[in-house]
Amino acid sequence: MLKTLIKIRLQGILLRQTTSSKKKGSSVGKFILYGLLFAYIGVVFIGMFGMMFYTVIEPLQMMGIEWLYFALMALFIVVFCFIGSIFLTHHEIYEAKDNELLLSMPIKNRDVLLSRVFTILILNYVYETLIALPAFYIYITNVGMNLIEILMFIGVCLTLPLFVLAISCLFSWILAHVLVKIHRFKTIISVVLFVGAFGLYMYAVNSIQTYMTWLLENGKTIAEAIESSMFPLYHLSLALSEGNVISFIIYLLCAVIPFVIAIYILSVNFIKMATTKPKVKKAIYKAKPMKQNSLFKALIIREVKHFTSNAMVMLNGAMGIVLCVIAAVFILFYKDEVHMIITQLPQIREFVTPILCIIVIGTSSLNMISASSISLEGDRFWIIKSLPIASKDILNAKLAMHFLLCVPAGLLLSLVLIFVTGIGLFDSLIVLVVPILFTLLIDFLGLILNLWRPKFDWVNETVCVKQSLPVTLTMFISMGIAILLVMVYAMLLVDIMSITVYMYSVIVAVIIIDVVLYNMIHTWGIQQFERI
Amino acid sequence: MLKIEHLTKKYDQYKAVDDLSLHIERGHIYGFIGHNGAGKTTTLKAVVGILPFDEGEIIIDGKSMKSHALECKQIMAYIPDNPDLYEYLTGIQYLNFVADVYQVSKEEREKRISKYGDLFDLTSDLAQPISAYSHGMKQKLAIIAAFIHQPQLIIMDEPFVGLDPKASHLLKQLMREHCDQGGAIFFSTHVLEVAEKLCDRIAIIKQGKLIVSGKTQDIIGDESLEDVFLELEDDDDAEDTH
Repeated sequence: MLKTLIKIRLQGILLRQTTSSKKKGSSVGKFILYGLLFAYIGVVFIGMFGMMFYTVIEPLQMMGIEWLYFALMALFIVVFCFIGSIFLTHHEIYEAKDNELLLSMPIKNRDVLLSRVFTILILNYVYETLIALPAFYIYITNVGMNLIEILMFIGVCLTLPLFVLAISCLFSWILAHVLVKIHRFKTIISVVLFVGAFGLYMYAVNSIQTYMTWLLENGKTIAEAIESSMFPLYHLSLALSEGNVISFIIYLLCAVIPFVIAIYILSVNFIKMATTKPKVKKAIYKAKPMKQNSLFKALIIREVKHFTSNAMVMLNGAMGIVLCVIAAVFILFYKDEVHMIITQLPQIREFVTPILCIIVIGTSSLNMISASSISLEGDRFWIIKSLPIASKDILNAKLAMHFLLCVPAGLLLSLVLIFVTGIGLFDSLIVLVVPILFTLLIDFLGLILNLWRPKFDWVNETVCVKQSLPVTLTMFISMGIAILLVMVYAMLLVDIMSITVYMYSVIVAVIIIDVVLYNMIHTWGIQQFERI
Repeated sequence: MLKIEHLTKKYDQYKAVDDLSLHIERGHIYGFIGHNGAGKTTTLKAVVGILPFDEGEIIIDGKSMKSHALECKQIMAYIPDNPDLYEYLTGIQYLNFVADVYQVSKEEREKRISKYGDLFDLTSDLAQPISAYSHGMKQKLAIIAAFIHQPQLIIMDEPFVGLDPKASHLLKQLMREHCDQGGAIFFSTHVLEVAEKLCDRIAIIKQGKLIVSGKTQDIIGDESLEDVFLELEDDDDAEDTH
């Protein structure tokens, strides 16, 4: 029974990420594609961690603190598994939708709980492999390990995720309580957290070399700090580097005891957790004077409320907006450096305006709001289909939402670039107008592609923006256009026409494409919408 | 009020609705009965303009659904069998959206939301997001939304499913009042006792084809609708066998 439950849970997680529940099976092509994607991610992470371990092994060995190598490995595993499984733990333990169904069947409560725990553990082992495998390979080829140490390494690999699970159970319990309190602001907080995490990640990636140098320069001090304050980590490292059995037992106790306590608490409270709904403060309606909106305004409000109701949809569909704002702040922060580049390199002055346009276009090309707007209707498509709304108005509202959300961020970036570079009035106008024309192009293109290939049978809205053909095509086409614009001039036209003439030609071409696509939406697009 | 003439709807080669014709007059509650997969929902969805159809014509108040869809929808309301509503809106936001679409004045919408909200005991929940509603509450909200613009024709697909006894009773009263005031209702149901008591006319459909239609009393005679329905189904099965 436990095996069946684990199989179902793993299938559920994969289905949630990859396809809809209504489709009877994934095609072989899709399966291969996902296989390749996961293999690619695996290779990238293993390569990245391998490089890092390769960099530190020799200096640590020379300093006589090679045990710090395993402390680093364990730290990375704990952090990586924790970040990778915290939301899954929250979902599986505290928010599972099938608790009542399973509890009504002749299945032991223990099996239901263990199936959830094992599912998280299996994923944690996958995350762990990405770090432990390169760490093991680098260590054994550079330093070497005896049989006892290898067995202890396997023991650590098997038990470390248990410790992580205990921590993530505790944190997801806190998260569950916090989410109830901040229910109304869940989307905003999710966006802020994601943007913050993204910023931290970018900062960490940029600073990794500095930190590695710092680690190697201060190895002894760090080792002393770990030895005195993080003794389980110290004993884990001693066990693996010196084959110290006592240290291994101390580590095992430190890793397994929290897990046993967590499982005990969960099993004692499982029925209560599975059947109690979080107490959300009920908002009582108080009649207020109402407002009558025009049909178009009502449609726009509906579109914006829908789009902004799901943090993952927002972040995946409108990453360009986030990046525009981040880029604007970044450029303001480094305005002196930008100014210095322009003054010190007079040969790029001629290209400043097109470069600025490409910066805003490239950043805005990550906005694919309209490309998922039809698919997002899902099971609720009957509402707008049965109401007396002209198809033209529905499509225009979807276009308007993309435009209204994306243009302000693009304009902000344009204005900052104009301010920092101090270009003239006419060039400023171009830097303001070109990104708007390009935003319209992505807007129209995305909607056409979504009308061509709508996807209504999703289980989770995120599928509409993460795994849909229209979104992928819109992103690649719009990014491709930005790259093509640069390549065509640099490789073919640089000797034939001036950059100014080329820029005007591009503006005219984009206007023509915009008009053609807009007309296509209002002819073929309307017919297609009514056929869906 | 509603004329369905030789309606045919195919899914690939399968005829979900086959040459179906029905006339629904003002003042009538018309029940639409059939087993699962008989073609009831497909017919209702074609009538409200959700599904395009292959052959035939749907006329609402003298206007063709094919050529004057917006005018037809303007005087009509639809309540689906499974009310998947916009979960990201609150109840009141959803009602306001529907009222905006039908351009109901603010005075009228305030009055009607208050009336129907109180009637279905949903007023205090209108500030809640629809995602927090139970199935029955969503069904009530869909019913209030359907009545918000005072439609002339209401199409309902299994409207009593998920409603509590009080709400079910209220809906029956509203349906009767609506038709007494000159409106018309065309609804599907599996609850034959309700159809028998509530409907002025009944149509029974099987495998996309109309088996029988007419006044409820003429169809059931001295029997119950359940007996008649089962007999008709059996007769049809026997004919199919021969």
